[in-house]
Amino acid sequence: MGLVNVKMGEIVITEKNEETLFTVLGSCVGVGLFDLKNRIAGVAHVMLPSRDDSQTIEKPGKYAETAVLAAARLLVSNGAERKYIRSKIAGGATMFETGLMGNIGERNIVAVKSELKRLKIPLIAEDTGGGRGRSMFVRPGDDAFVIQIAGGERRTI
Amino acid sequence: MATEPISEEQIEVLQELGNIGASHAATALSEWIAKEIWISVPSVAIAPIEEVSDMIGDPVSMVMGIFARIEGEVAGQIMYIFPIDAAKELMEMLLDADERRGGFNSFNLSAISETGNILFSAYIAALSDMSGLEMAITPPGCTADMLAAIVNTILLESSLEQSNALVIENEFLQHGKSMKGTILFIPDKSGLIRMIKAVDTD
Repeated sequence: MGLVNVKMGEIVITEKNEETLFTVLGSCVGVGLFDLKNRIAGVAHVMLPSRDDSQTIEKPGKYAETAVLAAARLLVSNGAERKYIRSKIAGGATMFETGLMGNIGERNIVAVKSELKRLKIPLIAEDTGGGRGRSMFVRPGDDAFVIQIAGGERRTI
Repeated sequence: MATEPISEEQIEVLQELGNIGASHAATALSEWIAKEIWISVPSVAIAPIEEVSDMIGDPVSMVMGIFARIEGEVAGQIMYIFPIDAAKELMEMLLDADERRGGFNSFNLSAISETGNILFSAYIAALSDMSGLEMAITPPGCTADMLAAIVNTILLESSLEQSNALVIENEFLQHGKSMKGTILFIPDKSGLIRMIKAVDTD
């Protein structure tokens, strides 16, 4: 089984049954989009709400305001049908309790959700917030996402 | 990501800074835990920050990360990342058996944060002395989590305008025990250039 690591700011899609996308999330939010009918799925590793939070314009996958649309388009151009695309999201933790990092995790969650809503992509489930990092595992043709919490706990959304 | 080119000479200067800073940090740490500590610095590298997590190790491995912000003429971030087993050893040095039973509770984490405070203060003081640039750290916080989750979160802020991190692999040695870790020094872009100019007298 091939594990494909979706790194910060990247969007990766797969339609290979033997492939699993995974991404490690702290305050970032992992957006999993999938079309069960056409057995294709993708993950965007969103770092920040919008480009306003940055000086640079590079990978669309970095920002909630560009990543969700870019991921959906990539799915459609590879055989997904817009009307069948669903989403699940994970991440957006507050990693340092002293508030050193501000509330970037929370802002990422809000921004991703508002973008999903704007694009009318149904959000089926989420595992967000809290204080722990997560790994999210996504396979095409399977709408059960495995979430592994730092320290060992595993759950499915 | 567009990265400012840094010359070989400048990398050497930064490596030297990394070495000296780390040895100052070892001295301060010795005083803190009241045991003699030696440090070896097998490597100092400059890397685009997005590659840092992969350089350090397995993205899902459990590590302790201590983080502080740097303020002053050079602004940025500093972080110390070390394996979770080393964090337990550190707790053995700092805490008594009763306290250790609490695991990574907030009291014990604050002892670890304080270690970071001492380490970072010494490190930043050394850099500040050598460069003549004023720098200070804010009180650190720490957390135990997956390597990539910690590093990526730190990079969220820095990836925006800063492009390089000084990655200082080090090993603290104390009575046959060794604690390997990585210091990440992430100055903002203008701070990095200012530092290189201040130290590079050629």
